[in-house]
Amino acid sequence: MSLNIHAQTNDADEARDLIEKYIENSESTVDYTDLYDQIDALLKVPVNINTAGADGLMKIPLMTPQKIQEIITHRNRYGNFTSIYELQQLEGFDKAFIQMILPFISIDQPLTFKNIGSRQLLKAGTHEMIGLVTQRLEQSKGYTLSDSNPNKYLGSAQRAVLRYKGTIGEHLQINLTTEKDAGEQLNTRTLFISGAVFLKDIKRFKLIAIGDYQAAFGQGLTFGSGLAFGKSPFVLNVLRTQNGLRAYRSLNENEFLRGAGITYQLHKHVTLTSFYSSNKIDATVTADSLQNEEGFSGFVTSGYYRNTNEISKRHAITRRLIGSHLTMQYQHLELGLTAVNTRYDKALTTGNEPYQLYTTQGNTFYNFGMDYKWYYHNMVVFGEWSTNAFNHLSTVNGALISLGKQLDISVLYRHYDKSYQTSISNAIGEYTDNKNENGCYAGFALTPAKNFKLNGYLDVYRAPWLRYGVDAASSGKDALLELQYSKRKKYNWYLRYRNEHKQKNEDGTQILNRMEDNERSIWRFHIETNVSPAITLRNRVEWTKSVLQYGQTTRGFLMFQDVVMAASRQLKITARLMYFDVDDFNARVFAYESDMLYAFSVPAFQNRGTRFYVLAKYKLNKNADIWMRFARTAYENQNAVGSGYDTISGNRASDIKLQIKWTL
Amino acid sequence: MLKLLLKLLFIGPCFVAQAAGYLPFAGAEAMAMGNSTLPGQNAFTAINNHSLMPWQKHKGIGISLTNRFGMADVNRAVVAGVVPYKNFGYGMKLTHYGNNAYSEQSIGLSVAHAFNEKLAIGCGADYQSIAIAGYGHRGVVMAEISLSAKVSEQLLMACRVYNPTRAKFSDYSDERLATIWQMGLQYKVNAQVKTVVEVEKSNAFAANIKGGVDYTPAKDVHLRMGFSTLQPQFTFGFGFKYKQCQFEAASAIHQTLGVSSNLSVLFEVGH
Repeated sequence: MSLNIHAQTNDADEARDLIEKYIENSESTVDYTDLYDQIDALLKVPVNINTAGADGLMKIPLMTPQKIQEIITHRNRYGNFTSIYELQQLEGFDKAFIQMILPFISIDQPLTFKNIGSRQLLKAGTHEMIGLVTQRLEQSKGYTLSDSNPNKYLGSAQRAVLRYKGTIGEHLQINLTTEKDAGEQLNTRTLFISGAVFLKDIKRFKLIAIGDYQAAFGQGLTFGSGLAFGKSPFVLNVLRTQNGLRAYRSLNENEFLRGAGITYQLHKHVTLTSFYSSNKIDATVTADSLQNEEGFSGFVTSGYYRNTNEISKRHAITRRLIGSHLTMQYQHLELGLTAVNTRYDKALTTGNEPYQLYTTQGNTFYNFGMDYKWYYHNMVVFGEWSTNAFNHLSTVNGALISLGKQLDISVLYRHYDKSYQTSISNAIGEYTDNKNENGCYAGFALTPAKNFKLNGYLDVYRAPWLRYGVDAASSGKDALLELQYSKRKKYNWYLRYRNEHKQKNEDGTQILNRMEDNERSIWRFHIETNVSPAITLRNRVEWTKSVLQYGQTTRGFLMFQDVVMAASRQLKITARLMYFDVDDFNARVFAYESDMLYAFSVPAFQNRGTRFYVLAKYKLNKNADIWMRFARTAYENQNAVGSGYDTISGNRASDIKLQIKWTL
Repeated sequence: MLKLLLKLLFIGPCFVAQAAGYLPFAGAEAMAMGNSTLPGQNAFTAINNHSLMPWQKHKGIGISLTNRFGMADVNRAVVAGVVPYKNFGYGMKLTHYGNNAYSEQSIGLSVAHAFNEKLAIGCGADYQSIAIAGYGHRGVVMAEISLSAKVSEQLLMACRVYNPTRAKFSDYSDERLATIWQMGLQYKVNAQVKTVVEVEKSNAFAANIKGGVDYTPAKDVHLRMGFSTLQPQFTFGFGFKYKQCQFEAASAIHQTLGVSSNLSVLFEVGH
């Protein structure tokens, strides 16, 4: 038995590995394609370190104000960088750091209409088509119901996705995505179709977007669609830099904008972005028995139309958005103004529960905001002030400060008023709705010795009014401490401790709900070793503990072994063997899994069992890649897997995936 | 004082019985390092970690005798042998535990392959049987897989899954042998000191963290100390080598149950 191994030198894989590092730290099961696109866009158009201002340089991942200052000072003193490796002369830019940011930076001019002919531009284009089919091998309950049951899944068990993305130079981008979910019928009522055309840098038009897109401004408090980083082990990552319009290529069937948008350069220092969107989204519609007027009580975000019940909620309301953002940039100061109008064709009519007291009902909503960023020596100060109807002011303000080359700190204060309401926002916070929350966050990243890093944060917050499942004013805190060691190219490990306290109603049905503290702790040790240029091993051991103040204490444990192997120049194999033993949902353990291009998963595990997956990527030729993945979870203490109509009888769940990518 | 030391070293309990859900190990070195199975590069790799066998320099055989709680009825004996050949290692083991009323026996064969100086994998098959006086005996075949990586001169990493297929012992109430997962790191601090830390998780118990330090004050002389957390115990031991023979002894102290001990002899062939 011998193994013929080759070093892996695929740039796309390296970029993906970097993106995996971001997501690997996440503890959530949302669709990460949007985040991938944000990072991918940066990889496609790297930041030019000779021309970018402080704001542009801040877009480079892991950048700190001190490092930006170093680049600008060096540029002012010695002129443009002639080689990227000149960065090594700057303080705080060691080899490992430069290696990490290398995919995101350049010193060359990007292609533009000015310096390239149209024929060359067409040649410089790329076209990418992806076909994906997945299936769960075991049949779930939804398929076995009788035909008369409104919950019976009407379609086949396969899920299929087709994607096209074409770019011509850096100016024209076209994308089209279609998806049929497992259990859905293949027809126009259930099929998800999304597409967009993006034009960039045409005279004063910085961007013209037609079709489906995302938009985010300032710190995402007045308006921000799409996925954004929250609290994470990247403790300094509290400043939002990816502003403006961007293409939408995710598969979420509700959370995007559909219409048109432009970004126009009004003046050397002033840019205007305006957008209009009108799309039908899923919601639970309610009828008022007295006035016979229809309203809606909440959004349905699953995007599944597998049975008649789910189909009845599809595209139940129309949401129209019109908004603008004006940016003024002068030297190191950036100011922005945002105004957004949201209009639903049916009125938002939530219930009359006490926690809904401050929810504004009706058809039409306005949001206005002012945001700022100021780069001053070794710090950046940023924030946003927002209001709806001018009387409920909300704000988020923060700073990133470099206290020497070994220590960076981040601080952030937020006050999201209990009456504040936005249609779409993604500002940083404990709760995703950006209302009814006051909080203070502080983080640090310290390099105490060579190869070591110590990161941590503490976030303390309070909800002054009631929330769903929380029948009183509540509070919480969230702390993280992580020690990292990295021996370049050999191995790296980290030890992480995270502790959260959050108040909720006492578990179980009570006559009068009292606040119960829910504590959750995580201990994780993760090591990644490069045994040879072609073989990487990853091991993890993780413990979780959940303590309910008036209830029980439960625990979780997870352990895995990964082998990532470039078996030949064409074939890359990733395999995992994992064991988990978790008492209940409160003690659940999250573990990132490698998947095929544009697929990301951070599943949560509970109960006891083993899981394995094998992912193979094979390069058929210069233009085509093929991925295959088989995953199986086998539970030791369960006779059924899943919940609701997705329940499988038996103790196993197996998934198979096949994806082909063709590029021109 | 000497009596106390002898008592500490040679009398008392340890928790080994694999049918009960603990990872099987052999040798006083493993026991002295908190029942860690990673550190020893000797004939006991045929039971402790198959994937280390190809890196063995010489053929070897080892005998390990464990006395538990000072009671002969729960003694355990192991004989193991390893033959390294080119990039492969072949192993064999025999174990016996218990008395006339209740006993566990196993016989196992294993093979391992080193892809290079840094990465090796191993697998093995055991026939595990239990005999109870008056009831007869029952046996089952079970598997084991392991992987070791020498990440650097100092760092060795290993992963091991014992009985991944959950071999069924009896149809009555679906009785199965425990599946046990283990991961460990060994770090050589300097030429004289090596440390080890391991996590062991059986589906029958909570996770067990084990660790130890091996100190070499003089050539071929070892002093060891360790701990394990599940049934909290401290472990101690020493070993020395004379020509091709290695003699080792270890003790484990449990606060309630007392002391257990192990004596091992290893013999290397082909110097």
